[in-house]
Amino acid sequence: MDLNAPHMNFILACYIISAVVLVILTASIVIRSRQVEKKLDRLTAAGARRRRKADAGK
Amino acid sequence: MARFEKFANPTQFLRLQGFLQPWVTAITIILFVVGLYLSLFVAPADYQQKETVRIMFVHVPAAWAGLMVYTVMALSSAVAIIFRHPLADVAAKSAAPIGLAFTFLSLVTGALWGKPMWGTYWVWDARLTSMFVLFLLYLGYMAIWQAIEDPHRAARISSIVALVGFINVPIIKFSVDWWNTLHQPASVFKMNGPAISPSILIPLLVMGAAYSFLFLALHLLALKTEVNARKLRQMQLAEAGKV
Amino acid sequence: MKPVIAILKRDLLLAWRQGGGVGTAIGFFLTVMVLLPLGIGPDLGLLQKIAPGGLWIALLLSVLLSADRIYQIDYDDGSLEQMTLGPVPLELVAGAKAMAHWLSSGLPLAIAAPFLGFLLNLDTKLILPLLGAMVLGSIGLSLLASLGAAVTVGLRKGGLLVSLLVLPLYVPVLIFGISASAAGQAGPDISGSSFIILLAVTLVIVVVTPIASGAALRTFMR
Repeated sequence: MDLNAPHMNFILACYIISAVVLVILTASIVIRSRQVEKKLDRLTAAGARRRRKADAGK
Repeated sequence: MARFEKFANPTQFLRLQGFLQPWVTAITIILFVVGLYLSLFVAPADYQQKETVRIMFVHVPAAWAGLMVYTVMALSSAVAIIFRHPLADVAAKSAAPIGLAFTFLSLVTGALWGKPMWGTYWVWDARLTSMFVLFLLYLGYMAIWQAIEDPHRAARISSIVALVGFINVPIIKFSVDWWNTLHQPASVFKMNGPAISPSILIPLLVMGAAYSFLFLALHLLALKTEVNARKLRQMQLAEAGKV
Repeated sequence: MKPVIAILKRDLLLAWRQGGGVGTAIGFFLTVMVLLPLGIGPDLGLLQKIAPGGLWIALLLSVLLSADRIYQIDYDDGSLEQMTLGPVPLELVAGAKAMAHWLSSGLPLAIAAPFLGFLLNLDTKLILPLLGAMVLGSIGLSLLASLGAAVTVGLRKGGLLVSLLVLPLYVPVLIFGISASAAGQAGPDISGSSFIILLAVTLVIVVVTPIASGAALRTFMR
């Protein structure tokens, strides 16, 4: 790759923008995943359960 | 609440996800390392486009992935409508932002490719225009999810929206191609099909695989999050009910 | 067939009695006709060039924006719920209501539009082809708009959302509609084949949209 080639700034811009957008996307998905998991763990630790069949009737 | 007796399925999914996630993530990283190396350092500069041909290695895979994700979304929506599989509408919902990002990237890199090639950032080239419309379809799909409060209705309605959009994608593509040939016959993006040289094709395919696996990795994780979020909501409701 | 005719009659009667529907839509159309030269400048040559496109875009916007009342009134007074509970398949209900919208808004607009083209210095020999293409194209426009209305029934922020959902789907109708009006291109005459493709696109829409609208309305049956 020749860094002094014409339009090199456009080429680099494409790669950088792609990287930034994909990293933000990945980060947002990972962070949300962590948040949900943490809350879930906390509730499970506190002894909460999903509603069971027995009291689903009401 | 009867709906959540079907939760056996998502539980199975969580097991599968736990098994697949590390592998898919690892393959994604390897593919990106190899793909970026090939496209930045190995692939030769094109005779006509010089170094700018390297933009293709991020532009075309993003466009492929954008289309692929919409296909996944539409298929999941079809499954959601026909079989009422509880995981299917979650699959469609969590695919949408990823597809939107890919489509957005294909548009931005397309515009940045246009400047050196055509001397202007935006040309109403057939492919770019079709991708633009696809971008709008993604926006509409995500907007309808947000607009409807009842999650069951939101899932059904957005499945319908995704399917109608999917039926329209080929028609839109065809009409835009038609419109484009009327107004400007030549397109720089046109490549000569199988005649494309392997030194370009291989990096392109590797990057295409990298984008696909990235989607797979992100989608698996997002799906797991959605399943967990539903579980969480159930638990919070149950807790609130106790008091 | 009977219930379809009944719905058709009822909706047409409502549109007629309530008034304002077509009138407002044509008023909106005229407003766009005024804004276009104001935005672009009064250059007659330029206006003549963009006239068919301008008319088409004004047409599809007016058809779209007149569509929100297709289901809204029925939703508000509860008759939509009656329909979902009734014996008539919702696909037929949706088809009949879309047809009523076409007859009461789409068709009058499509007929009026080419003649209002004089405001944009439209080439007079384009009036007839434009009329044909618009009358055919407006069927698809009405149906897609009704689908947008069905999908957003009962939502508070429906208007903008409908535009975002429906306008991308208008692309094929717009392209082949323009092309069938033989407008804007210097190349060989392809208006005939464009007209046939416009017909094909319309047929696809006629098949798909009532099914999709019906499915959307069914989400009220719970």
